[in-house]
Amino acid sequence: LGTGAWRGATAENSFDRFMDLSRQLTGQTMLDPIVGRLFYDALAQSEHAGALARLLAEGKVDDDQAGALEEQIVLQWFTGIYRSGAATRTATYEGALMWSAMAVPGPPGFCHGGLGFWSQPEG
Amino acid sequence: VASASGRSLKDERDRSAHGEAPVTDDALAAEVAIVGSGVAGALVAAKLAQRGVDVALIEAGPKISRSDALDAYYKAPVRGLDAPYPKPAYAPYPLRSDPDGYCIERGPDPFGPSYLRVVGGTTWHWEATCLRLLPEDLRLRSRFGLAVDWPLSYDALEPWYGAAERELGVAGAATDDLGSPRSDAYPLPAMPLSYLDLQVAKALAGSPYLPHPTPQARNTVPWNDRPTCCGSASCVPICPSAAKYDATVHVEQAVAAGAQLLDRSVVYRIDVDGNRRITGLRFRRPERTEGHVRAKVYVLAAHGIETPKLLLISRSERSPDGIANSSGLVGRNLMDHPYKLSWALTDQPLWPYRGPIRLSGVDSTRRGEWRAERPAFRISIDNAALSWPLGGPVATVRALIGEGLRGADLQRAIRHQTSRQIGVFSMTEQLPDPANRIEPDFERRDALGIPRPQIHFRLDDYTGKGLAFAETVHEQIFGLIGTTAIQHRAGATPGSHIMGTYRMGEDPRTSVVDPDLRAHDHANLFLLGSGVFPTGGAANPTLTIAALALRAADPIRDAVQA
Repeated sequence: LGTGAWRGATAENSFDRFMDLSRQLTGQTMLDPIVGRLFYDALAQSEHAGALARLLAEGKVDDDQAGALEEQIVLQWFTGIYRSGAATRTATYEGALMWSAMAVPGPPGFCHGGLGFWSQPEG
Repeated sequence: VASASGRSLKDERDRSAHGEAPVTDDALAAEVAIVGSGVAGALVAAKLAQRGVDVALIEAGPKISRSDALDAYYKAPVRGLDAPYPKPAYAPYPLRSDPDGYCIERGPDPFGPSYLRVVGGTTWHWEATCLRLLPEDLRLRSRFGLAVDWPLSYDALEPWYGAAERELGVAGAATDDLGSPRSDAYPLPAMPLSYLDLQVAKALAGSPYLPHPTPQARNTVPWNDRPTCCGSASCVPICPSAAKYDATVHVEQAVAAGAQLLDRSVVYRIDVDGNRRITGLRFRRPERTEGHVRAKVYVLAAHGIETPKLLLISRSERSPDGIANSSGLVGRNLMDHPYKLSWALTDQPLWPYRGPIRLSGVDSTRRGEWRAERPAFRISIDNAALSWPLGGPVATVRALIGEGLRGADLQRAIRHQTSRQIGVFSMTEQLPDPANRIEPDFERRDALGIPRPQIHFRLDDYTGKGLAFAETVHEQIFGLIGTTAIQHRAGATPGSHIMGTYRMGEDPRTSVVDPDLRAHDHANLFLLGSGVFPTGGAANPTLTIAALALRAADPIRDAVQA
């Protein structure tokens, strides 16, 4: 991530930077921007808002608040779940990154194949 | 079925005009009124309706759309047992997110009730394991000097087990009777084992703990218009394809044969006359309207908590201790199958979380001369690894992120751990104790003003010995498989199998129903479900519930004609 070029960011390129940061933290290049928007908006209105603004403005911040924010961002992408005010919401079920990280044919609750595919080792 | 037709409604109004009954918004008449549309109620409703009996099937909760339930499951941030299902205030049930929100646990130990109030009942989220009890399970007093014997022999039950297996569509391995002699084959071919089950069976070969394929009501071929299992790995809490049996199968059969289904109708009172005949049921609907059902024969099939609660809240001058309660045993002898949960990481990846959640288990530990000293138990090898003890792989993902892993390192760690997780869970037999009981709390009422259930529950030393022994066996099993990071959940984990609260027996002084499931006190009242179990063995109760319900269908029909 660069730093100087980010100063004076608009709201829109803050979101682009959030997606860049998300790709870096998750190790995934293909992230759904619609899901990302939900995460970003929720974080921007949470206790992490200050850390988020600083992180996006300066590129890298080494403090506990930034660490907690980064953990939230990774949790959101891997679980698909985010906090919005007092509520916990699902942004995506099948798009949660944990399913592709796991050695399973897909998230539970969908048909995954013919009878007995589970008798073979995965991958 | 006369239903809510002009005729029966007019009858109600006529009666009301004579001051006999309040005006009701919803009144119906039937030959048999069944309360509860779970596996027991639905099976009996279908069997009776198919033989021309007028049946009213009354369910407190709503009908469920499978696609709506799936959608709710996907969207739920916590995907527990009740995540897919509506949670109506008018028909409350225990929620994992709010354990004391409905049933009130009085302790000292938690019972951990879990059931649904929806059309089709708790079979929506059951595991579909279909074990028969063993002959010796029914003779605990004679064989081991414990508790009581069942008033039925295994031989008397055996044909009904076969009938239940055909109704539910049980897949099983032809050569395995698992200690319960069989007069016919399983109706469906056995479910293929998972790679995990196959490797565990290899590791345990030659030990006393060889797992066998578990008989299960999950389609291995298309069966009764339902598809073959497609390995969705979400049997609990919901099967997306209906390859897993649930009682909506028999609700639909009952309705197709002419039964009337009343959903969203919460029965709160049983009326009785001076001759101890049940004369009617009263129910409330969410709109707070009242209804009244009149029948010749009444069947309660509302499971081990709601059924005794309903009997006990229907107390009156004629029956001051409640309905069917001359023995004083309604609500008592509540039993669970307390579990010992253990888990570990296998040295080699065994790839869990794929296919049906439970495929094999150890059944040899369900029988033995040592039962006088410690309980029978059954060990299941869990193909869904840590889903039960920890809520699934999401707990692993959270923990790894919490450790600071990011990016490709995090992805590798998730794959490494979740491909090696294994759960080994033992279900133990709990003995009946009259102090363990369900009571209505008349001081605390639900949204419709109906008293809520309270639960008194204590685990005894016999259970404690069983849980401790199971833990040592789990250690041996993990050693043979090759594992690290072994963990045991301390104490007992509730199995939420609700049994014993209106027990069956020959003697009206020591039991609530007779072997036909007819209440000793009331010739036209039958009580179905695992509440009738005098003891619980170490087998999941549903197949026995179904077998007893099918066996009761003839006596119920005979009572209509009497």
